[in-house]
Amino acid sequence: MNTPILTAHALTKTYQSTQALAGIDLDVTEGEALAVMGASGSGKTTLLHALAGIIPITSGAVTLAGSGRQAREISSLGAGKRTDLRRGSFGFVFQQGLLMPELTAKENVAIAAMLNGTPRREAERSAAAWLESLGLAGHLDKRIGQLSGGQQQRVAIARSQMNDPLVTFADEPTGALDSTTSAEVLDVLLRSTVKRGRTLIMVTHDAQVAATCSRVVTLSDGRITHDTAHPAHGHPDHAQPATASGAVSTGFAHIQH
Amino acid sequence: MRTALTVMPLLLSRQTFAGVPAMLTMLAFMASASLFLLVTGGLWAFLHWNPPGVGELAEVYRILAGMATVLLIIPAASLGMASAKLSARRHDERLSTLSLMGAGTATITVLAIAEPLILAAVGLIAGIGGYYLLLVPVSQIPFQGAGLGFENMMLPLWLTACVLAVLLLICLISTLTGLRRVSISPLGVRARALDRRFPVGRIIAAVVIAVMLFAGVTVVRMVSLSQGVVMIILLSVVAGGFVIINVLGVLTVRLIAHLRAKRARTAEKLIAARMLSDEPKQYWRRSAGIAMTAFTATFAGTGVALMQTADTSHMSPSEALLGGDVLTGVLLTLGISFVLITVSAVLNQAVDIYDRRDTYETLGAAGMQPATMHRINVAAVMTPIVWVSAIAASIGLLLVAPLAGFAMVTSPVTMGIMLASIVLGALIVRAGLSLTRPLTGRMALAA
Repeated sequence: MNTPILTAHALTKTYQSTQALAGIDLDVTEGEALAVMGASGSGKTTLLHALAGIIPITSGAVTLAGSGRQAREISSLGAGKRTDLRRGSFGFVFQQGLLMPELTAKENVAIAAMLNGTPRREAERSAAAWLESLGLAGHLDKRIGQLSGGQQQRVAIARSQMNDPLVTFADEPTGALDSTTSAEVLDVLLRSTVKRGRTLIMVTHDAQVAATCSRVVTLSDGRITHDTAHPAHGHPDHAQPATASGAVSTGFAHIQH
Repeated sequence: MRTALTVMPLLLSRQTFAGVPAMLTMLAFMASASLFLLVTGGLWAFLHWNPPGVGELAEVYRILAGMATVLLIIPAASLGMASAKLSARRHDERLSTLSLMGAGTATITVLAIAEPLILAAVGLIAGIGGYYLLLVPVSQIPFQGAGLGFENMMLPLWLTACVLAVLLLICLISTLTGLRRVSISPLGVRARALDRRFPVGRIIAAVVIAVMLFAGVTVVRMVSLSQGVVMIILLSVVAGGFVIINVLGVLTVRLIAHLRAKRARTAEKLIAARMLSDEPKQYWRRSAGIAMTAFTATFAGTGVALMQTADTSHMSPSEALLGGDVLTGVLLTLGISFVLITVSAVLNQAVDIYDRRDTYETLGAAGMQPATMHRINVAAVMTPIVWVSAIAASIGLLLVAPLAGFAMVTSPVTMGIMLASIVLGALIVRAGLSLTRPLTGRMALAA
């Protein structure tokens, strides 16, 4: 469980004259729940996108590894190869959900597996199982517009997990939700990822949300100013990190991958 | 209104002409104006045309030129609507911000239509230049052995202004129609969920029209009527045919979408089918131009076939040239129609891509290649084109058969022109859509 799955070394990203990331060194351990915090403009989302291979970086390296896997330097791949990598290895949950309005909840989730080559019937069966496990049993054939914000985020979470990703990236997944719904969605997100031994990297500005993660990294002006895994970076000022084991049953044993 | 006029210079001055959507809108209106002025110029030339030895045959040329102009109204209008939609996409956020600040509905409406109209006006004026440029080669195309002439095809100022005003009106109507489909609130601009009911009334009307059309063509065939009356009935048949195709076209798209969604095995096919089923009217409108062209081609092809079978030994030199001139006119009309349809298809696609920007970003993040997204878009547009064109052509054949006889309708010339119009139209649209591929890629990688 202490194997680094994602490593950033001397990572920089510059947009025209603005340096969004100014030399990030970061090891993300397999099975970790990592919260990335910082003020607006600190580089949180840019870091997320760089680690996920959504954007090319200016300099440095981002490497994907993990136990039993050959290390791959994401940053040296072209756009097409990075897209292929994301499809097979990463899951994404965005603040707005960004689901396809033309498709039903089940189809939105199934699409992720179909993109990876899974036949439709199998993908829809798996999607239905995921949605039912996330409390959306009666909503499989509803269109996205017919679901509440919290329900839409659950669909987005289910979609992100369809290909059993090594790492799930979440960008302010509860940012548009009320506190009760936020707590529910967060619980679902953690149960779907770290409680199953998978890695979660989550951008958030909310200290309470960050407190549910096992590690918090704080950015300022594109640099890491504090890391709870390495307190020498600065002063800790968050609540106790959440513990992972045993607190919540996963309820996902029946889902086939 | 006064509020809107006060705010307008501030809101529109810097951004109106900036960016790809603005350029596309202006270019589209320029193309629309150039081609429509050209066609009207041709009609104007024929109205004053009386070369020696042609006599009463000039009337036939005038009627056919009039029909060509009428037939091109639909693709020209479709292009104007697509351009207005593209322009309207740019200012959704500005409108909701204005609503947040307390701007009334009237102010927001005026501001919403101002930018598309300004861009349209610029494009239309530039279109006058395009029209003059096109006049040079087109005025040399021979009819009755000689070109119509540059000066003869030049429209008087008042008529030029009328044509441009009509195109501007199409832009205005289209923008207002587009506003009806969205709900502007301080929180944003959202698509209004309009009721989608099964169009029973329209289907009944289409059936009634079809019966009347059949009766009309039967009357023409069996009763001796003056040339003018015959032409009026024929024009009514064509117009009625358009109405029937419009009703059947939307239903066809819905049916195709439903069947393809059920059978889709890949993510690409499923998404493309759902896009169609979500907005069947929108995708029908993109196919309508080619469908109408295919429908028209059956009439045109039959006419050409009839001309070719006529016994020329007893014809005057002018009459002998008529067949070739009709074919020239048909090809010219079809060619202009294809250009309008293709530009319209590209613009509609660009609008779609901007509308789905967020979706492309998330699909790109999730691992869908931009090339795949482009294929989905192309599939959604091209899937209905062949089907609705075939149906439209069949309706055309059914309507013209009682007039010309099945032998003419199924002659190689008729079938050739009809099939060529469908295939060529589809290929040209497909080629035009490839121009939007870089835009899809940019949206996908815009995270």
